[in-house]
Amino acid sequence: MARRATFIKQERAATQGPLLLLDAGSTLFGYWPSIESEGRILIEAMNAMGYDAMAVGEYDLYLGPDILQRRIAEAAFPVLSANLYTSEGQAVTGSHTIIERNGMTIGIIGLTEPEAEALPGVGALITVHDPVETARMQVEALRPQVDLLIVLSHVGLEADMALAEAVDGIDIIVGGRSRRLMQMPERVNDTLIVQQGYAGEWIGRLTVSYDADWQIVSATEDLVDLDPSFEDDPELKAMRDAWAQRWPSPTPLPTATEPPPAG
Amino acid sequence: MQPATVRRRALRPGHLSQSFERRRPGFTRLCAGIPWAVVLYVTLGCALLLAACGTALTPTIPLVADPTSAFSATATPTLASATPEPTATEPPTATPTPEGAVTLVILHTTDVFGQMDPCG
Repeated sequence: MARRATFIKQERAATQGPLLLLDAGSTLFGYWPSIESEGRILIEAMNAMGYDAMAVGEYDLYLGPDILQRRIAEAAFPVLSANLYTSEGQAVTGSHTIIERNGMTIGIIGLTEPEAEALPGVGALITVHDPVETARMQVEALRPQVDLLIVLSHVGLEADMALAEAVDGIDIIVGGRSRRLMQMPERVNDTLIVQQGYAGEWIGRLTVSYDADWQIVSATEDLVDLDPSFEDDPELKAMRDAWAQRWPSPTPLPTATEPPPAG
Repeated sequence: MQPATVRRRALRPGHLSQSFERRRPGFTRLCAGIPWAVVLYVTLGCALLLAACGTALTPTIPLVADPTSAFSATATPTLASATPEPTATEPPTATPTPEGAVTLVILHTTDVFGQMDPCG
């Protein structure tokens, strides 16, 4: 994430127009030591990188909706899901947000995959409503208020394409779950669909131009491999080192300089 | 006035083969010198090569580790060695935009799985 922070800073410096930084979910828990920190390290890093919004994917529910809500309270950005509810019928997160950026009014709706209900130990605590019907109602309500409408989705690429087919009025779907590396955006009717990679090894960059009537003039998707050519951002590197010290790896990998085990 | 007689040319034994033989000094004799088996193998080889290139360029990568295994406290999921290399990233080209147009850039991530240092 230190390389990601470097790239994001470079992009912010180089971009004249509006720029959004989004995450489509399943981000808080997984690799060591995210679970040991109960997701704090990811929220802290995303705050530092200046994320604008994040959707809830099933892995974000790994420690249950209560822990997720605690992390959301610490986040400096909205964490969204319009179709995620507790088993008692309470919304776990906000459904959408509206961002003003360079004179544009941008609406963002979050969606969670129904498969999250199958997460062991968590499924009984949550209810995930149908993403298409939820999106239809959200779009209907939000569309008149915004210039551009984005769905931040963790339902998967095929479901995203079906969503774009079924619901008019979505300009862009920024997706996840399918772990695809895309060379160009998918386009279904007037909706662009992108998603990029997993495990923090890549970041996607969608560049889309609209004319004065909000018709797409051009759209390109870049797959950015966060390889060692990107230097570590000092702030994020210090953060990462502090976390590693606080939660040392339970199983350090042997290095070539270590002596072989006795016996 | 006598009716016009229709003259039919009878086919003689070997007529067709004689006709064929008349063309042989051109196309057939030329083709006779080509090692058709070699041509066939080379064509098949090229087809297989093109098919392999097409597969490698498919922008989908498999993940070896099952998503649930990422939660193991001891194991770090690894990527398959056969993972296709992502394409080199090029800076976005500056495209002229008409008056009133707006260009939006969205940087996006997903499925980070709590990873704070992919290569560490």
